[in-house]
Order: sequence, then C-alpha cells, then structure tokens
Amino acid sequence: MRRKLLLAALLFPLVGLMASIWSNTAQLSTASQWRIPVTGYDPRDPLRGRYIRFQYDWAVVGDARPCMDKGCTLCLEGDLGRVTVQVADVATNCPNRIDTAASDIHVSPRPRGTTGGFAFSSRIFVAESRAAELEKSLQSKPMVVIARLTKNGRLVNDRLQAAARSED
Amino acid sequence: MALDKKLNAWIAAGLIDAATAERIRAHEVQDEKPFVLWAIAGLGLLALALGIMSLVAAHWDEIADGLKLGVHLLLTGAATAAVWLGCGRGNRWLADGAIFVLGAVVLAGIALQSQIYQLTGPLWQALLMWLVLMTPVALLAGSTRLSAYGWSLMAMTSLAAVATDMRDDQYGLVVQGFAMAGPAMLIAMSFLRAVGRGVEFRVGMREIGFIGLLGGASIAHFGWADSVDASTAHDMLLRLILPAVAALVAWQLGVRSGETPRAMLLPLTMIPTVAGALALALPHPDSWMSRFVGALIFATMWGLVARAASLCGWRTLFGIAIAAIAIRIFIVYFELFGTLATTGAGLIVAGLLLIGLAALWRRILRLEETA
Repeated sequence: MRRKLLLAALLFPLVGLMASIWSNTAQLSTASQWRIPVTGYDPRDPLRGRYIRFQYDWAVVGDARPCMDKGCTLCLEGDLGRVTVQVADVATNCPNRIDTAASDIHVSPRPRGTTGGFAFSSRIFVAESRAAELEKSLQSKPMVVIARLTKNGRLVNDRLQAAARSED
Repeated sequence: MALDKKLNAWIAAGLIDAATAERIRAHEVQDEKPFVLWAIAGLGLLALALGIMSLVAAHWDEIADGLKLGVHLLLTGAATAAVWLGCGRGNRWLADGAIFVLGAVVLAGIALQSQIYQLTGPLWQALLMWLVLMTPVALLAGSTRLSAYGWSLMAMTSLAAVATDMRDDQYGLVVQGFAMAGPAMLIAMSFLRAVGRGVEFRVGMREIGFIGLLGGASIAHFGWADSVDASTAHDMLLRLILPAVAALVAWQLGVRSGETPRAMLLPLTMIPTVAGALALALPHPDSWMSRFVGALIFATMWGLVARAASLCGWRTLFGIAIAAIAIRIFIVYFELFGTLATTGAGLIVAGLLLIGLAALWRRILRLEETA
C-alpha cells in the first residue's frame, strides 16, 4: 500500500508539470493575437532576472481609478496600431476582456506634469543576448508588444518588436 | 599533526599508555577519508556543470521551447526514478539526495514555464505550486534531517510569501493565520508516525517547528514596544485562532507519542503561542509599563524553556534559553539610554541582572553535575 502511495506521490510532480504545460498551451492556442503600442519607462528589473518593464500605450475610456487597488476588467478594442481599452464591468458584454489582476498589469497614476490619467505597466522576459538591444529600442523608437489574449482574460506578452514591422 | 600532539599530551599526563595511543592512531588512520581528493574531484564536477550551464545559457534564445520543456521533463523523470530506486534499496542518502535534486528541478521547471509562457504573478504562486507538488514526495519518501530541514523551510517560506500578499479582510486574516500556524503544524505532523521514512525526518521537522515557534514568539515580543489598539488586536485575534489550535494539537499529539519528553512539550508549544498572542493581540499603549510587562513575559517564556531543558538534559537548548534572556536583559540598557543618570542606571541594572543570571546558570550546572 505504502509503495503504491509512494509511486503516486513521486509521479505527482511530473504529472503536475505536464498538466501545467498542457493547460498553458491549450489556453494560448485559442488566444487572439494583438499588437499593442508600448513605451519603456523603467530599465530591466534586476531583482527578477531579465525582465523589461513597459507601459501599454493605449487610449483609456472610463475611470481607471478602481483598477489601482483590486484590479479591473478592461475591454480591448482597436486595430492597425490604434488600441483602446474601456474600463468595463465584468457583466458587460465584451468579446476581448482583459483581467488586469490575472495579467499582472500594474495600474498607477501618471506623475504630475505628464499627460495625466493612469499608466498600465507590465513586463516581459527577454533573453540575455537581446536585453540591452531591446532596452535601447524602447527608449529610442516606437515599439509594440505582440500579446495573446486568452479566453479567461489573461493578456500574455509574447515579444517586443519595432512598430514598423508589419508581419503580425 | 593535531592527533599526535594530543596523544603525546595524554601519554605525558598519564591518561593513556603508549599501546593505547598506538591503537587510537591506527583506528584514526583506518577511518581517514581522502577529503582533498574528493574536493578536487568535486571542483572538477562543479566546473563541468557550470561550463555546460553557461553554454546552454549563451544559446538559450536559439533552443526551441519544446526542447527546453522536454529536456526538463526528462530530468524530472530521472530524479523521480532515483528517489524510487533509493527508497527501494533502502539507501536513504541516495533517496534523500534525489529528493533534493527533484525539488530543485521542479522549482526550475516552474520558473522555466513562467519564462516560456510569460506567466506573471506574485512569487507566492510559484512557491505554492512547488509546495503542492513536492509535499507528498517529502512526507512519504523523506528520511534524513537534511531533507526535513529543506522541505520545512520551503513550506514556511511559501506560507509566509502567501501571507504577506494577502489583504486584511476576513479571508486574508484566516490565510495569514494559517501561515502563522506553520511551525505548530510542523510539530504536530512530526508526531505522526506515517510521516517520513523513519524518525530522523520527523525529528528534523520538529526542530524547525520548535525554532519557528520560539523565534516567532521572540520576534512578536517586540510588539510590546509599540501600541496595539483594539482594532489591531481584534484582527490579530482572528489570525491567532489557527496557530492556537495547531499548538494545542501539537502539544496533545506530543504527549501521546512520547517521542519528546513531556516536560518539554508545554514550553515548546503552548507557552510561546501564548507569549506571542499576548504581545500582539492584547491592546496596550506604547509605554514603560508595556515594555516592562513584555520583558517579563519574554523572560518567563525563556525561563520556562530553560527549566524544562535543564530537567530533560537538553543542554544546547538550555544554553540558548539563557542566552536569549541575557540578550533581553542587555537590551534594558538601551531602553534606559538617555541622560547620563538613566544611562548609568541602565548599565547598573543590566549588569547586575546579567551577573545574577550567570550565577544562576553556574548553580544549575553544578546541581546537574552532582545529580
């Protein structure tokens, strides 16, 4: 009996990791792809490895103040470089819903003297070899993040690239 | 060599004769291990591993995600097989070494998936996933103190990470309470014979639990140096329900198991819990009297631990308890630090108390020797 239990316990981490891969792959396979303009505001976060932090450069409709504390639902709309998010109630009919908490999007008021409103920041893991180049690009030219929006509202940043590229 | 010097000194002092010294020397030579050789081989292996890791890291971007995940799953499978093999052969060092490797590989796998799927979120989510995946392995296959220390510390770290990210609503308070109950839960689980393979693993868990409880209560005692209002005390009371229940269960399970001397159980389970609860959940102002009461409770807690340790012959714990009281007494000096007169008074009070404590310690040791 104990040997069977031990075998089950030993297989559990392997099965758990495989289930996690399957779940993530399944979520992303049905996700819609978006090109969202971004601006860099902070260099890599040295405490968490090679992450580049950036802000989504989208137009916000509605009051984003409640998003700061508990997170909120954003309705993603737009095409061809112009992206708008509408602060929405969960019940609102929205085909492209972003859950800011699940997407780990940090919402904060923009500092005084800037355009005002709220900043929606996120981060993306980049390889060591590309980190410096991307960091420089974010500060010097228009960039977009290619992101995938899963059905459960998670916005997954896939890669950063120059806004001029059009294959996506 | 050090041994030769000692043996010669013992022969000169008439403690042993030359024949005994020769037998000791022969025994020690027989037990000698080629540590230098092992160190050189170890350094070589470390350099090899670091070299392979650097090569992989340099080409990380060019390796397909599927390949990365596949290789990782293979490594996880290999570590799993090694644990199974170790348990099957009764080789506890192979089994526990492999548990360590498996734990590290699983943690690396969670990080790898976060990287590949750009998963974001607080650190506690990754730690909690690790804890869920590794707990059954540790509790069923673990057999050494070392693996007990590793798993117990990761469990407490994960719970602390979850607790710090919780809001102060009722749900958050209960989760924080669950995290605070961690050390007592470790102690309670350590008295269940089904946990681990052999007593060593459970003793390791218990030690971490005792350290967590006594350390936690000692840190909580600083709550007396600040004011606690009724609302804060109420929140803390809600948090303390689970730790109190866990401490009670740990105490009772300990009494039934008989693995730890009965005299030690109360001072190592309930008394730190009560001392911590008084510091955090009893409304009090930031005043002299509060600090004084806090210092008395701290000294009482460690005094009871010292008394029980002395009765049960736990000399290390006895020394730690006396040292804790000595440090607290020394802090009295800093609390009285102010004008020349109060600084002088502080030094005199702290000095007298420390001398008294040293005299008491010496007396207890002598009593032990005569007993």
